[in-house]
Amino acid sequence: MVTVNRVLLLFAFLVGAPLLGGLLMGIDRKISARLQGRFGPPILQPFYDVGKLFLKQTLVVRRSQNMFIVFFLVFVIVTGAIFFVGGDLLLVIFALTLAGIFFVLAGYKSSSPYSFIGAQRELLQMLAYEPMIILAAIGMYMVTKSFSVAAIIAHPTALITTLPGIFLGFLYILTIKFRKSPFDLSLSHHAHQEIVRGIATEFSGPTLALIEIAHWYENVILLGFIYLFFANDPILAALAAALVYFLEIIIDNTFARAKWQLMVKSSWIVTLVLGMGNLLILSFVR
Amino acid sequence: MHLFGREFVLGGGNIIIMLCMLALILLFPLALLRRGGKFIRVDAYLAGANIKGGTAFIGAMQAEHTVSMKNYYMEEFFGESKLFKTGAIISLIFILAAGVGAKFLW
Repeated sequence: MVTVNRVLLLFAFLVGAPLLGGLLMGIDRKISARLQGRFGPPILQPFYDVGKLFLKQTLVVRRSQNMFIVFFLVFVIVTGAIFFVGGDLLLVIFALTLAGIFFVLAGYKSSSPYSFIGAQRELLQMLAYEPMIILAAIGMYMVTKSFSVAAIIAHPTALITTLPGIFLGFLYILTIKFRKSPFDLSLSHHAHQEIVRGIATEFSGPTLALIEIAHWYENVILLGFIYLFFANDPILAALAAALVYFLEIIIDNTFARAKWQLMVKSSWIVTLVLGMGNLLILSFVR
Repeated sequence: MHLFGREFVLGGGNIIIMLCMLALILLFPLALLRRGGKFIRVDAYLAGANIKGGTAFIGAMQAEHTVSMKNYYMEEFFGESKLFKTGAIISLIFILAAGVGAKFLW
C-alpha cells in the first residue's frame, strides 16, 4: 500500500509539478503586471510560450551546450522525485545542487560573454544560498531526528514553532532561488535590469523551453520546502506556501537589483544570525 | 559511522539512488560524443554586428570593439592581502607549535 502511494505521488509530481509551476508563473506575471499598472498576459501565457518555443529551430553556439540543459532538467526532476516520495532531505539538496552545477556549466559552455557573466553570478548565488539550505535540513533533523521527508511530514508539531529563525533565513535565500528581484543576478524571468538574460542568453527554441520547464519543477520543489515547515496541517501548509509565493512577487516588484557583494554578505549574515542562532538555541533548550 | 555516540548511516535505498545519480553523471561524456542532430551553428551574441569570427563586433556609432572577458576576484572576501595576513599568522602559530613540540619531545 505504501509503495502504491509512493508511485502515485511520484506520478502526481512528474505530471502535476510542471502544470502547477507554469500556472504559478502565469499568476506571477499577472500579479506583477497589475502591481505595475499593466493589464498583463493571460494566466496560461507561460504554457503558450513554452509550446511555441518547442516549434522553433535550435540555434547553438557550441554543439554540446544543449546536453547540459537536458541534464539540468533531468536532475531537477530527480530532486523532485526524491523529495515527493519522501526520500532523504540531504539527497534532495545534493541533487538540487548538482542540477544547479549543470546549469552553470551550460552557461560556461555556450561561450558568450553574457552567459559567462551569468554563470559566474550563478556560482556566487550558490555560494550565498547553499549554507542556509543545509542549515534548514540540519534544523529539521534536530527537531524530528530524521532527514527523511516522510518522517518530517509525519512529525506531530509544526516545525515553524521550533525553527522560526531557520524559516525566516530560508525565506531570505528563497528570493535568490526563485530568481526574484533584489537577487536576480544570474538571470531574471522578468525584464528588469538584466545583462542580456545571463546564462540563458545563447539558448533558444526547445532548449529554452526545457530551461523554463526545469524552473517550474524547481519552484514547486522550493514551495515543497515551505510546506515542510507547516506539514502537520496540510491546508495551513498549502496556504503558507501560496502566501510565501505572493510575498516573493511583492518583493520582486518592490526592490531594485542589488550588487553581488550585498547578496553574498547579507545572505551569510542572515544564515549566521537566524540559521545558526536558531540551531544554537535549539541545542541549548533540548 | 559512529560520531559522538550516535549512529549516522545513509540508508540502503539512498545509496542506490546515489549510485544511480553517479552513473547518470558518468554517462554525461557519452552524450557529448553524439554527432549530427538538427542544429544551426551561430556566433555568440555580442552587442552589435559580429566580425572576425565572433571575436569582435561593430557596436554603436560604427565603433569596433574587441571582446574581452574578466573574472570576479572577490578581493573583499579572500583577497591577496587578507589571505597573506591570516596565512602568515596561522603558519607562524604552526611553526611555533612545531618548535615547542620538538622541544618537549627531545
